[in-house]
Amino acid sequence: MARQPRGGRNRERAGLLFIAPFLLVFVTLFMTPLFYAGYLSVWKQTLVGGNHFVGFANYAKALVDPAFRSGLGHVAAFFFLQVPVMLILSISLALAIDSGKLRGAKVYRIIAFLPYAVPAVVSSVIWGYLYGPNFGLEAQLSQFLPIPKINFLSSTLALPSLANIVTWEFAGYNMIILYAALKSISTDLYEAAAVDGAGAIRIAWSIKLPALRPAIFLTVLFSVIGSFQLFTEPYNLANIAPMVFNNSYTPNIYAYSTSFTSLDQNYAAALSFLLGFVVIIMSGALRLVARNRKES
Amino acid sequence: MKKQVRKVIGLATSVGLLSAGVALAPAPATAASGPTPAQIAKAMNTPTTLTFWTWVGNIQDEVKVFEKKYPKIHVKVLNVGQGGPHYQKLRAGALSGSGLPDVAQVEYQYIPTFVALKALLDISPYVSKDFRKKFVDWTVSQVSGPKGQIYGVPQDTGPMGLLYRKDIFDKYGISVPKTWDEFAAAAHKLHAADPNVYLADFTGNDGGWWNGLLWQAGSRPFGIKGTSTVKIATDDANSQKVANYWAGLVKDGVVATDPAWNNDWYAGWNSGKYATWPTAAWGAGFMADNAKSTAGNWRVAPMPQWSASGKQVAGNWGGSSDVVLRTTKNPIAAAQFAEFLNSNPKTAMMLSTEQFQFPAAKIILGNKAWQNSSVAFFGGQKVNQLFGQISNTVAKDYKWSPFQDEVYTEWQNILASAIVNKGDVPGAVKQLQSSLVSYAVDQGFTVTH
Repeated sequence: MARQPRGGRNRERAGLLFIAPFLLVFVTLFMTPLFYAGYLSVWKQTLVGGNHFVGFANYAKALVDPAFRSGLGHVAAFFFLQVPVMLILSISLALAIDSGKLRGAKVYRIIAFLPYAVPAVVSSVIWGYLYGPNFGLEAQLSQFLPIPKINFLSSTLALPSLANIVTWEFAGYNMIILYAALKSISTDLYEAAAVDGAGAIRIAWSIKLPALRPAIFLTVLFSVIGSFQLFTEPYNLANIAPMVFNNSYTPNIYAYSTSFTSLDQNYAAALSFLLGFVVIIMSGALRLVARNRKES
Repeated sequence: MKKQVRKVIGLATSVGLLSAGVALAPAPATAASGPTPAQIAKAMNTPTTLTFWTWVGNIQDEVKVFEKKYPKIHVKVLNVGQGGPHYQKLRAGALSGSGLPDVAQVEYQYIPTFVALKALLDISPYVSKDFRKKFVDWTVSQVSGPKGQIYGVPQDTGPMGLLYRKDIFDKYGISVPKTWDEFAAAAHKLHAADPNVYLADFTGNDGGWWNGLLWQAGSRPFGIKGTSTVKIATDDANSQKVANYWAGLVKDGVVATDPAWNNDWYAGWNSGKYATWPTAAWGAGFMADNAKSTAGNWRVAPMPQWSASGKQVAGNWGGSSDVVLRTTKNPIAAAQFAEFLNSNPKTAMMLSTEQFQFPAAKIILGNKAWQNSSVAFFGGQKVNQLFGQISNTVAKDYKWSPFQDEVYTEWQNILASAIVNKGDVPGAVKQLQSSLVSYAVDQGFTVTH
């Protein structure tokens, strides 16, 4: 009897020891900056006049800031445009590779995944070159072929062009997640379905897709976070299309510019926190939708 | 302030090597009482390591010349990033008061920004007596404070001229425009003759270029008085004049409106889409590097003038200095190094011949061999000589804001959408004005017009 609690304490201590490396990194690199940013967001330091406590004034300013709002509008539009396209593509690819009817499935898998290995900066540069309004690929082709010259970076086409880059980058990545989920389905189910006379399409529709639900939820969740934090691609495209990708095109770019160009780190911290809240709310809403679906 | 003094004294007692002049170094700018020649000689003969942040490639070669002259002093050259990242690191260091180098490369346009952040040391006590005579006048005023402070040593400059394609001009019978009116007429003539060619590109994403145009036109959009009053007049009469001028060309569709500094733009230069570039002296080297297929077809002329009186006035675009940071523990060695690097006949010449910088040092600008060197890319023209003459016509009194990055970012945002909206450049300069005023007020400045 007497030994049990001591053993428990030892176990506790050992447990602490095991999580210590993680805890250390988590606290120093994640919690501390977070708290510091929270602290910064309730102050206002100006180039003249020093530092003042302002409470939630920075947040109040952000809520009515047209630049912040238009940035949120862009990423929301981006989310609703890009994510369905990308996920339909990812699901189709995963199903095709999993069908067993594709010769050289491994090769396709690698090719589809390859863009994910290309750094986002490089992808933006590559696509930026292809999109070039005067000397990009399409612009050059249009000189020889009977096709109209398209300005992919005009104010109307810029968002779809951006969505295209991100789809190219992440469709393969999501495909891998979905493919892994497909692999975990018991083959008994397929056999039973085959006995019942189901073909490949029927199996995909009635067994595979329902089984994919948790994995699809995960990829949508990642996409929410990724979309609302969009930064690298539009930031790099600003170089060739500054008229569209300005310094408040996405909330993250706006926070970055506010912090490092306008030197208003306090306001930038408040913007970042608000963006964080938006992402949390969106993720929460997504969970609710998913749960309701399951129940119904 | 207090902290710095304590740090320096702590170092002096622990190392026991530093002279009294060094311990007093961070004292405020009372320029008159600098170190004596003996103190300078002693500092230059004391083992010291200086850190130098610069984006200038291979500047190590020039640094070696300095180290050979002063073997006790070692200079550690670090490239912490070009453009944005470089200044972000300097700014972060200035805000936290630590982690700064002894010497850093800073463009003229950003000197007031770093003065406002109290990051720069007034080096007037540590440089030679004839410092102001060593560099072109307008560069000296670019690095000077209102009370005779010197915040940097001029290195390179960007006096603006007009690069033009002689072959295209000849083909369409266009003569080199001497005034902006002639330039506009040429723009119409050229574009009518060949709809694929534009006389110029009105870029919406380079505030520095726009400021160079304002500089020439006599607009003086900024000024600083004391530490908390800033003049903002980006919509002054001359700025409106420049804005209306370009807006007219954009509206008529006779100039291109492509953003600068990207592959599409470089391809444009190679393919002959743009026939001229009103640009800085360093633009000549840039063009030679980036539009190789057009070698021999280019020439340089002075900028078109606003007045037909014949009096030449030029603007400047870019150019940089070497500043000494306030946190340095070796102000004498740092200031002496910065001065040596940019005014020693050997190193200053190397900066021109190896780094292709356009010099601020009079000793190079007046050098006959340098003036007479002809450049094949420009059909053998004596480009140095011409830009040297242009440099002498750059107005001395152009000032910058203490938040120039904000100015450029806002300008890019506003002008970019103005260009999309059929070139409402005059509207853009007004919008820039109100946006900058509200930023300055928000940052605690008193704003005058």
